Amino acid sequence: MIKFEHVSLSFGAGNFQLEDINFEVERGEFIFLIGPSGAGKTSILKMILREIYPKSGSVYVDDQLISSRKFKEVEKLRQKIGTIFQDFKIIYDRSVIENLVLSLEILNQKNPKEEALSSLKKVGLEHKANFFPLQLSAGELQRLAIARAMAGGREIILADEPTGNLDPVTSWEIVRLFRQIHDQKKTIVFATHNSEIVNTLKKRVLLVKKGKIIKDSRDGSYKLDNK
Amino acid sequence: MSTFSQLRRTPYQTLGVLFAMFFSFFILLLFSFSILLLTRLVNYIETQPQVTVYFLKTTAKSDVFKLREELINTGMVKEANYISQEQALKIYKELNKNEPLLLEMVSKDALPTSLEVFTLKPEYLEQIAQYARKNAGVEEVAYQQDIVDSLIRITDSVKKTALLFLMAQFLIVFFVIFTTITFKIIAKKEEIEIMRLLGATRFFIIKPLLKQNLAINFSAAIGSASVFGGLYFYVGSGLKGFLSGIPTLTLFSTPWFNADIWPLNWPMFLILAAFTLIIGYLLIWFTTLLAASKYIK
Repeated sequence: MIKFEHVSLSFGAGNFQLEDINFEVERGEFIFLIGPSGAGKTSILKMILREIYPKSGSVYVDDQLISSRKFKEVEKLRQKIGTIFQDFKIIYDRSVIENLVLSLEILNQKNPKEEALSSLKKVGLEHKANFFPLQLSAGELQRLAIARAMAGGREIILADEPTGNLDPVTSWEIVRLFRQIHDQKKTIVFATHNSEIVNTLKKRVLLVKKGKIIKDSRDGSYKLDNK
Repeated sequence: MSTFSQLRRTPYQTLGVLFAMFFSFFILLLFSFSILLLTRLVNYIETQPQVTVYFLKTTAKSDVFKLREELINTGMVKEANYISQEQALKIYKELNKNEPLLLEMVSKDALPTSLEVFTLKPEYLEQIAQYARKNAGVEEVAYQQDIVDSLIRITDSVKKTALLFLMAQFLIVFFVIFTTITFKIIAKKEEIEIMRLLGATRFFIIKPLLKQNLAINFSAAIGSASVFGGLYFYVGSGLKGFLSGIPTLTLFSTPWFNADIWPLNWPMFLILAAFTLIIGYLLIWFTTLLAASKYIK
């Protein structure tokens, strides 16, 4: 479903952000992208979403080469992907339900309001449907971002530090939601440096360090320490 | 959020676009009407006999036909019709049917025989008139080149003025709409960026702005048509006095209605209003899509 082939990314001459990245994610697979801050996790997610494209190498999503500058179907690609951004990227002058409805209207859904309410129910935010984002806590904003990513049948879920800055209880709530999403056979790429979550879920782990993938543990046996 | 609510949130921008469009549409209506009326008037006057040759009562009919033959042979004449005294009286009676006193005073003997000559080009009028004047049997030659020339000159001037005015006006409208959309796009930059990341197309993003401007366009077109209509019916009676004797000038006919430019009838008025509306729609589509392609990456 997602394939990186010899992907390098640089900002400026010789200053490599990512170097020779190779990996493949199957449909319905759940993988963790782990590594320290600045390792290049977010850049990998951005390339999947085609916010940026590599200096060299190829990125494929659904067998489509999306890394070419000539790739024109960016909107179609993004409609397949639900992203939980580090900074949430919620529209602050729209209510919770309006944020969700907008996302569903982009996908041309028939009953966006009903679908939005159902998604809010799944993340336990239905009672705050008419609240504005500024009235929500960080955990609730994160749940709203997850609801938006889940809604409308987007096939791939990219999560960039979805538990960052959340207290442990809320973080585990978020993890529970990701388990639910995975049960729906969605492909999930989860970037984090939270060792507890990685060690508990026992999913495939890609360890990124200094712009390179230094470990690809497919059996979930990889243990991440907190250092 | 409804289009009306979105417009209400930016009242000054909305009013700016509305006034610019209203004024442009009004000018467009005014000039379209004037140009169509003048053009149709010139056509009408050109269909009237361009040179009328009146003969002395002593001139034999054979001499009249001889001159007719000579005129046709110049190659400058499209048509030359012989009008006998009986036909002249009939025309006179038709023209003065509401004036019984005038009808009583005139018999066929008082009217001369004549030739009504239509030239192929307006510039032949002078030559044809001079040729006819040389004939001994001709009493008088009348032609209306001056009227036609003046009307053509007026029509040309109006067309040029209209073109300049409308270009300037539509340029203003273009910049007002373009600037308004640009402001709105910049004000919603973050929101648009999020929408793009969620997979929204440019058209999806621009659709609400397009809807808002189309609603303004509709209001401006209705407003300008109403003001133009009111003005026409207000000054129309004066214009009717000035153009008395000019019959109904129909621009085109359909099985259901005639589109009369003079006097302006309802179907023609609605066609003019629809024309301005369509021009506005095209302008808005063009401007909005241009702004979108420039500012939404």
